[in-house]
Amino acid sequence: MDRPPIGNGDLTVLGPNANQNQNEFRKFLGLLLGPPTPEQIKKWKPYHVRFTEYSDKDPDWRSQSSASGNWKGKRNNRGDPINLPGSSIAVDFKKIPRGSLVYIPKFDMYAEANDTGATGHWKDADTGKSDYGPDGGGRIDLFHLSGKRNSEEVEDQFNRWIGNDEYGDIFVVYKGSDWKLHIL
Amino acid sequence: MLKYLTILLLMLIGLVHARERKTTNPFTENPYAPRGNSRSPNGEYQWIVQTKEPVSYQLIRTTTHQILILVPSYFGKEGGSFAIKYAKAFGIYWNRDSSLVVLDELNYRRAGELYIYRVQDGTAKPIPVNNLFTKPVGSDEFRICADKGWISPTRFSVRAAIHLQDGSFKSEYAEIVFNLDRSQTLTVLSNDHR
Repeated sequence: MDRPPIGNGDLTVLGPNANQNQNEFRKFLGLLLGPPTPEQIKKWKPYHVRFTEYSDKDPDWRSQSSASGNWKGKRNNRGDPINLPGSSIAVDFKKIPRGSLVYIPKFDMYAEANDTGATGHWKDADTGKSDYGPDGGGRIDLFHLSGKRNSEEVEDQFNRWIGNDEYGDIFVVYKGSDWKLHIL
Repeated sequence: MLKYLTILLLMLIGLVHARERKTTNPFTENPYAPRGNSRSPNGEYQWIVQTKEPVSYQLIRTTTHQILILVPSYFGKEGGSFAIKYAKAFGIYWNRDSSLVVLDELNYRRAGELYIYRVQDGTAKPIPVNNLFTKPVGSDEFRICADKGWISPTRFSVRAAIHLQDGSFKSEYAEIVFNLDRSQTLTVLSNDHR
């Protein structure tokens, strides 16, 4: 796969409209389409997390790279692999090791933990909350292409989409990046 | 004659403005390009990026290669295969007499840190910065990063990069003022009018 297609263009909702990316991601990884089976889920480690989002409207994110090698056909003019809605997430690597493959039931989404953000601030802000508790996986920051929307609209629509509760569970399918050696 | 003088004056103004633009925007076309100057003006000291894990920044004495201070890179753990690339995107800002130096890591979505050191007689002492700034109300993330750099021998221009809880972004500008008298303290002047 050289150049995965981008989602269908309706950027107001991340999940269903990013399915093209998600499906390409699954194909790329050799994963079966569709949600994982209960047997599979039993083998994976659950973490309680907080879902947030980030977009390309961030003025402090000049490189706009997910630092992932998965999407080999999608690189910016500096050669960095770029983020794609439906497959790119940023995490706190102290909680979820870089390169881990996660499954997010809330969005029926697999993603590689390949990007990061101001994790020190995340920890400070969420200390005492469940995502930074003993079974917490920190924040799962989903990349959400903004299109013509401003950053407040992106935030607002994301909040409406996920509902009142930003919190949920994820499963770590593979911890760390060694899984690629077996799958790719 | 007046015409030529006017043209000369305009050219000089243009040069000044061009220089200002260059120094006011710490990000060039390439966000990974190093900023400032890693070598001190007196030539005695230099910052290098130690690329062996864990990736770090080292202030060395150029004559002896003695390491005066070692600072772990934020991206040593967070950057993965990009750790070295991100670390090399640092900004080093020396004051004129090589007695103060600011190390500004790559600002990657408000990740990375800003450090200040007082360098004297072959020693480097950290000057705490974080307690100078208060996290703005309603902010989710913020970090202090270099803005224009040194704007006078005792004033360093910084920007607070802020992500608000409503999803919007904001920059606030300030100057760190170094009191070189006996008190050796730092103060912050807010400069929000820009």
